[in-house]
Amino acid sequence: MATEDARYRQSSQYRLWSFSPSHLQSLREKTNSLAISHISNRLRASSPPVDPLPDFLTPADEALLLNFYIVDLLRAAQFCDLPTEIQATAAIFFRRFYLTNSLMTYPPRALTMTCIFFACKAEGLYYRLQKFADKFPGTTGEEVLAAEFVLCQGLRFAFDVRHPYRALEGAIMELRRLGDFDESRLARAHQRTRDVLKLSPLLTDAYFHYTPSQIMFGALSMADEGLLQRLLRDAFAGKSESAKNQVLDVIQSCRAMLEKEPPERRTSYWDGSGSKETMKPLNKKLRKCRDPDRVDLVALQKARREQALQKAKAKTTTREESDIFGASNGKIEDEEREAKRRRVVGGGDLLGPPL
Amino acid sequence: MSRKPVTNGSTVVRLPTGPTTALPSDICPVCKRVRYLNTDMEFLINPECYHPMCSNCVSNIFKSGPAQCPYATCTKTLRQRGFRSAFFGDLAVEREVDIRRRVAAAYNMVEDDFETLRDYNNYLQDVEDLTFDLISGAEDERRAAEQKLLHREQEFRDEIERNKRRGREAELSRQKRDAADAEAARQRRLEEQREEARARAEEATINAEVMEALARGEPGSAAEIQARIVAQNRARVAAISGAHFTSLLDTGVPSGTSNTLSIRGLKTKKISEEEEDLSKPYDPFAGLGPALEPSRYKLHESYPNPWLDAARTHDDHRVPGYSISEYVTRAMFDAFAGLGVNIADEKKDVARGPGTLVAAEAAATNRVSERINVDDVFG
Repeated sequence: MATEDARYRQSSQYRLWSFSPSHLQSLREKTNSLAISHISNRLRASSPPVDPLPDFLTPADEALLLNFYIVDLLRAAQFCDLPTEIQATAAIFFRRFYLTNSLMTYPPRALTMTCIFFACKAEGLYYRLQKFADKFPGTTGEEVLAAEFVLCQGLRFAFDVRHPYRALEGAIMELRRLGDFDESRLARAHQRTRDVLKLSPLLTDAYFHYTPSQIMFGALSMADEGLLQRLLRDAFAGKSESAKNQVLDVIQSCRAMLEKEPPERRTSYWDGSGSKETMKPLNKKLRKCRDPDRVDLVALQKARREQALQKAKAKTTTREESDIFGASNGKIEDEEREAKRRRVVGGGDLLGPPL
Repeated sequence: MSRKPVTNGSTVVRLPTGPTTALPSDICPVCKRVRYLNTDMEFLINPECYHPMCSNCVSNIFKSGPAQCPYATCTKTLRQRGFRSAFFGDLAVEREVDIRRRVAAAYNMVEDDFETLRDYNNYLQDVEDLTFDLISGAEDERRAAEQKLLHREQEFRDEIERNKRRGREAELSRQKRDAADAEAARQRRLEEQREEARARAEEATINAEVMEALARGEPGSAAEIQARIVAQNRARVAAISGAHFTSLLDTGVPSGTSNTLSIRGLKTKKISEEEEDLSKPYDPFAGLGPALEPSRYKLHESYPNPWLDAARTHDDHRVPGYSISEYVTRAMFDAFAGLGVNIADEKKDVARGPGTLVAAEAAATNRVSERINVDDVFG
């Protein structure tokens, strides 16, 4: 077994955020069905109750909308002049978050801003909150921060995203060192692969199903198949042919996935000409079936803070039995759950009149 | 003598009792004479008891033979012969140095005498313990240590003598070696100077030839003539600079002596396993090093990459310590890490964390228990 693979298996990207296609599919379906049942409960409990329940989004709708919002996010990140890696990190954060949360539960527009801002933090780029909020008219710093903790939870506190960009530089350096290809061919392939990597893997599930190195090789094979073969020949020199073919199969399937969203679509995405018509009805549908409790994340955040304050006072008198088991963490979680239950049952009066 | 000597058989003495162990500077504690009136007053001590007194007192009291120390409560019998001036102002230090000198003379073994380094270290530790007991141990400890030291001094006299002789020899040979090194360095310097002079002379002759050729009016421009003659003579110059080191070897010191000296200490020792572990250099990866070696690529010294040229040459990058090799290592690792990981296969039957297990259960029963929150993936 190669040591590089063993080291990659240690990463949180592999441990927490890699899935087989069927698993990913079932996860999305589960998330969707859970969200629907929650939201319908809440809608029924609200006053006045929404009687004919709205038409909910299907998993397929969500997938379409997700890509729409990721394009949005990429455009916003580009507008902020963020480096490619941070743009990609933001997009992957967004994608990962909406794997265990539904678009109907948390408003994607707010999460877009939070993801970009938090990706800057995660990648170690300092961006002043006020400056960031000022870039987008109608956005306040409070709104950007409101969903931050929820986002972290949704990411399972795994902030490390492994990208294929540096891998591409490594591969090109190796090819240049070998000296088998002329410079213009390499430069062309380099440029093309970079274009692919900037868009295609972010709009597909490549990050969930393939490792950065496989994504990079998949993109490279889209640009120039010969270069890929040359690199693999060296990498698997002295190993069995079947091992190499296995890897080649994985790379080919990755390539097939990347080719679904070729970089040529970028222009049509960016001016919104292609997607506007299909997205309009979906967005309209989304607006109707949103989670009534979580539309205003700022107010939700405030209510939570207040609750936590009240809890701190009441903590000593209630729940002595849970103290026996020590974990104050668990207690807070329990109480939070309790609060949420009450909120669901009591029609959200904790948040004031329904919005 | 009214005071009875206490016979405890101890030759290593306690310090004078008193508030300070410092050598007095002005007034003699015995005769109370003041330096102001006796400018050449000198204070002496006797290593029997380290009680300071002026030289006048010493000659007055002890001239006529051994007498008891004039200090009250001190029962030592002193002789004039034993008196000397203290080297250190602090008599505690003076005494410690004396004791250490004596212990070192008795316990004078070297590392080569021991089988393992650990044994040698243990020996050093024991000696130090004994020394400490002598210097600042309690009364009974000191006495025991004193006994041990006396025993050693008497029983192992031959061995001590032998070690001493060997130490002297080693010291002598070290001096010889140092002298030989210095001589070799001197020779080298001389040789270099000589070479330089030769090279300079050679250059002068070439220049002269060029001038001559110019004066003769040979065909071609001055630069061409010069280039031609220099090319002719280059071989000669190269021969000189190439001969630099071989000639040095010829004229150097006879190599026999320095060789035999330098191999001293290459004694084969039996080394236990533990000892061997300790003697190896520290490995931060605890033996994992080979496992971290890349298997799919070979990391080369440098890669052609125009993007990195700026980082290589500009002070903006170099001065703060940007490491190109670090970047290259990472890029190459990224390029090949996880290439053989087949996620679809490996994650086929991986159960997810508890959060989704509960979710899965809820989805299966098609009933949402109130404990589940969509936004709490760990719930």
